[in-house]
Amino acid sequence: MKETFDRLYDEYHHALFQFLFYMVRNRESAEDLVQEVYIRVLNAYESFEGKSSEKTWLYSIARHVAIDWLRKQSRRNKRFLIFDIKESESVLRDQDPLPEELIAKKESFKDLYKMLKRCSLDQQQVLVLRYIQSLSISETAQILSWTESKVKTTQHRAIKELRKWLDQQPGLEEELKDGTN
Amino acid sequence: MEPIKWNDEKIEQHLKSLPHIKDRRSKQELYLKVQAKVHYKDNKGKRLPSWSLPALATACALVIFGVFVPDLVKNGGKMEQSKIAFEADKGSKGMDAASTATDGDVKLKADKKTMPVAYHEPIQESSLDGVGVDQDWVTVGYLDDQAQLAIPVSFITQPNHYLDKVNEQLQKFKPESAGLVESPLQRAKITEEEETVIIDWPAGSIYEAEEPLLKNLIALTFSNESQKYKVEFRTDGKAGYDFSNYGLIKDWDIEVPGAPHFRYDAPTTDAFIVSLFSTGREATDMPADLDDALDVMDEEQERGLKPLLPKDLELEVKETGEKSVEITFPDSFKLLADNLEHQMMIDAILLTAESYGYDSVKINNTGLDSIGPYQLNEPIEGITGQNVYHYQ
Repeated sequence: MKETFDRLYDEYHHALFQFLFYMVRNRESAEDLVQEVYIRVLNAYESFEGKSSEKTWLYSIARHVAIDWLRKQSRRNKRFLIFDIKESESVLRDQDPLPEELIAKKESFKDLYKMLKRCSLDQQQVLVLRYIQSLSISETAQILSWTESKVKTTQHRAIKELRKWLDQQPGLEEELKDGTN
Repeated sequence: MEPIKWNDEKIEQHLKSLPHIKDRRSKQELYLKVQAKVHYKDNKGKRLPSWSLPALATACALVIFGVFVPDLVKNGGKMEQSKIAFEADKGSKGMDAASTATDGDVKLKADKKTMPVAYHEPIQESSLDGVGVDQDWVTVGYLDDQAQLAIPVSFITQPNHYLDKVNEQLQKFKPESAGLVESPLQRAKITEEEETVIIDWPAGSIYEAEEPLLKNLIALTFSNESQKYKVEFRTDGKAGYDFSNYGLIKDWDIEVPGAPHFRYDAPTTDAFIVSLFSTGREATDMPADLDDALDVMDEEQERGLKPLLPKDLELEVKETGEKSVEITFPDSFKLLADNLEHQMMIDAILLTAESYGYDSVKINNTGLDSIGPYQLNEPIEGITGQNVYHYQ
């Protein structure tokens, strides 16, 4: 088992952790979840038939782990919050602090990070896999068990939504003039 | 100064340049944590099985029975006939032994057995392929006649957009023909914006008695296979709907959780398989995994839900892949071919497994090669379309 773990860790750990972090937006939770991914992977490793690539299989497991967690959080939150929260309040409810790595970045990145949360779960998955993880349309489709066409449509809609919301954010003019970093 | 607008390219560049977030733990630290959990799962299978006590009790009962059986035989054939009837019923029905313990109950069951049952069995996705005509399916939630359960009913359709299929069946299906009552969705205008379902009712169109099951009914309609995650309500085009019990609600997140499945008999002869989620319970109240769900499937439930698994049947569950599982029957139980209740038992197991995300289910040690539409010597895949209603 150690040998398999070492190899998977060396090849995929950074990418899996990053994927989970951007899905759940909390470092501690991402740490717990990546651990759960390894447990599921190692328990099922013998039965992995190689019908998909190992990489997409791992991402697929990570995706399910993240979604399960998000749904549990959503259910838990509902117990404590009143039903009818305005959308704007819901957006501001992202109480997890910005990761240190993002604090040093410009406001435009922070705004983008915040707006990502407003996307639907499907859209978030596509954006994280396609842009942050730099996976191809085909790999993304395999991971999500979607058609490539659905990936493209969701990606297009997500960018459109982000653009709409970002345009409503004030105070980025000067910064955008300087470039993206 | 003109404000600078974001464009698609800038957004894509920003997304690609979001910072790398690294796990701060060392590889070794993580390995030790993972190793501990993997070993824990290995050990889990070595625990004394939970069925061992009932099995021991059964063995003791058999020994006692063996001691007294000569006396029983001496008392004539009447008792023996009674036992045969009991065993036959136990075998074919596979239901709660306590309910078959008297002649009266046996007779009652025999009478019921003679009634024709309109069972709406699920389908496998593969059955929709290869018939020369493209076919699809859709599920719509209805209420039972007491508004105590949200019953998902599926229909075979032409391929179409999901919402179009829902709207078509809401117009076409007459729920009273299957012992159900109308869906509150039949009074709504249902559209879609992006990935959100928009449900627009005229003011005052939801009865108070319908509200407790409304969220479950909506989830069973729009999210039975995670098609949609969110619904928004409108009243005559304006945001939100003012419910008697909840007040003004603008939207709900919806999901259909993994849940154990049971039998529901409508006042007609129609029989359905529905999950515990259909009773209006919260997703969080459902058993956490398939193993736990199967454990409760031999118990009578609220609101007329009947178990399809025999009392104390211990099924062994072994996950063989991310979406595949093997379920093994104990040696003490054998399925009977051409037995509707046993086919319903298998359907309930498959639907429960499917609800927990298992696409492929291998059922072992049943004593049969096939039952109903299923070949039991190979994994059963793509069970879907719960309670399929076929139009006459």
